[in-house]
Amino acid sequence: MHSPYGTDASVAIPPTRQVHEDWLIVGIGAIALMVATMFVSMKPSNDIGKKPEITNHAKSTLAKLESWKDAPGKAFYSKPKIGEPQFLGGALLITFAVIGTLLIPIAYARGISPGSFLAGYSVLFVLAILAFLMSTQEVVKQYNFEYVLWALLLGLTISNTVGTPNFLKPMVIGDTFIKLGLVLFGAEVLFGKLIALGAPGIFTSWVVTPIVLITTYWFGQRVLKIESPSLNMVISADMSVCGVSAAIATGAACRAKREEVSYAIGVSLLFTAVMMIVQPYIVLKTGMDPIVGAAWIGGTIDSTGAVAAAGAVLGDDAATVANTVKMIQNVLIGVIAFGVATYWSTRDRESGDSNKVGISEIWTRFPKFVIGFIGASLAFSFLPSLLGWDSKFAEVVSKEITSQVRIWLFCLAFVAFGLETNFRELWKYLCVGKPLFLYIVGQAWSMILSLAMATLMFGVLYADKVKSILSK
Amino acid sequence: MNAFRSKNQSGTMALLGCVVGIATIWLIVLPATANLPIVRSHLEFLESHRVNAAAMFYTELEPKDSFPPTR
Repeated sequence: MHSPYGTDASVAIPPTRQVHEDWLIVGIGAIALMVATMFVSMKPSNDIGKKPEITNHAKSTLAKLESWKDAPGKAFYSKPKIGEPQFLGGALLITFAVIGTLLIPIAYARGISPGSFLAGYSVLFVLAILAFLMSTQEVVKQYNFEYVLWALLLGLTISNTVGTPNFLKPMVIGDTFIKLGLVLFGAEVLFGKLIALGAPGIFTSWVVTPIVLITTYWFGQRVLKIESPSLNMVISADMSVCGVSAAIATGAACRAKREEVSYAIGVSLLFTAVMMIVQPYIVLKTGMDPIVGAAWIGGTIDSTGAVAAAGAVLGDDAATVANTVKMIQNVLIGVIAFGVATYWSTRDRESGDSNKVGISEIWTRFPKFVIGFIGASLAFSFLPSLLGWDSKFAEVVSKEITSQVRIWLFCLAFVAFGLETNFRELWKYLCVGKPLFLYIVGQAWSMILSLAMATLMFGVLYADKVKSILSK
Repeated sequence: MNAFRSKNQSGTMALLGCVVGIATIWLIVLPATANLPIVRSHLEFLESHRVNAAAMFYTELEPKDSFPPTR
């Protein structure tokens, strides 16, 4: 079965059509990224040496629900820094139309009728809004329980009570939403971030992370003998790189089952909520240098938002270091997704032996959307400088436009995963201790190695250099 | 026919139960939790530092002027 995340016959499509759909997704993603760049303009500054003025003409066009405490209705009103709150109804309609437009060619290629498309997509979109509403409640948000968890819960609730209605089933294509989201996600993975802190940042993130990933995967396969290599890989990547986004990217790259990705994300979010409180507490109580502690936090806590929250407890400079180390680590996601996709394509499905598979077979098996993901990352990282544009240009396009579309696609995907997941299947993973043990051992190993590297780089070898960067 | 109807009814009841459970947590329990002094002070701390603890990736974080420049 080639469909990532899926073994359900209702969503499975033949392998040849899967390849065609992958290329279609890459094409749609590329067009979407090009269109997004057209909404951003750059005006050279009249002052010599001053950076050009970059304007996003689509600012606030796509909907992003606001946080709320006791009145859910407040989530539907934007909170501008200046002026009155604006109702997000129009933005929600535009978002519905934009994402719907991206999905039309896929629905057409799958032979989904316009009526089924509209009915299915509308219901999924409403469920996605509900998931965002649940995730933006201030207490939920504070502990980093992201929208994917609530999207999954809503889908699971429907499918395991009244069952997924037949009219919805044609649009329950979570793997397709994920792939399109990942191609857009590529534009957010900017290699320029790599050098933000120089050598200490690269060593703390790019040396420790692959070591932790590979050794944890090895431990899971050889010592714990976890039955599903894809579950092992998703947990290892999720724990060592950047949590949910890494689980989604590597899960798609190694064709993990949707239950495996859901499980890995659930465990990661649970541990992240604990670690974002415990780790800064350890730094403060032990009298550790806050900069070293921040680098340690940035290298070990899974989620970016949780790193920001934990780093802020240690002070402004520490927050900067923690965020930047995490940002550098996040860049690894593209390399790791590509590596995992290649490794998985070379493995013999029966024996797991990598010597038995030829080049053409590797190419056939390689998930083509990963090429779109890497291509977008490389294009947005290097094209602006080749064209003489300001490096901020790519960041504005990806941060303010395409990331909004990507977030909605991921949310739709997890609603769909929930709608096609039997809770009993998910429960099996919750009842088996090995994956949880793997996560705990891997996280402990990551904490030890990251602390050693953070101390060496930020506390000994480059302590003065980091202080001089921060003082600028 | 009766068995089918009864399965359908129990599914609908289960869905209603879940909806009531979710609504109770989000509309009563969580707002009450947000008003606890310890939680409220942490929420205020995050807000004052412009921290989005729910960000999945760095592009979802608020821009921070204090990030070291890319060189």
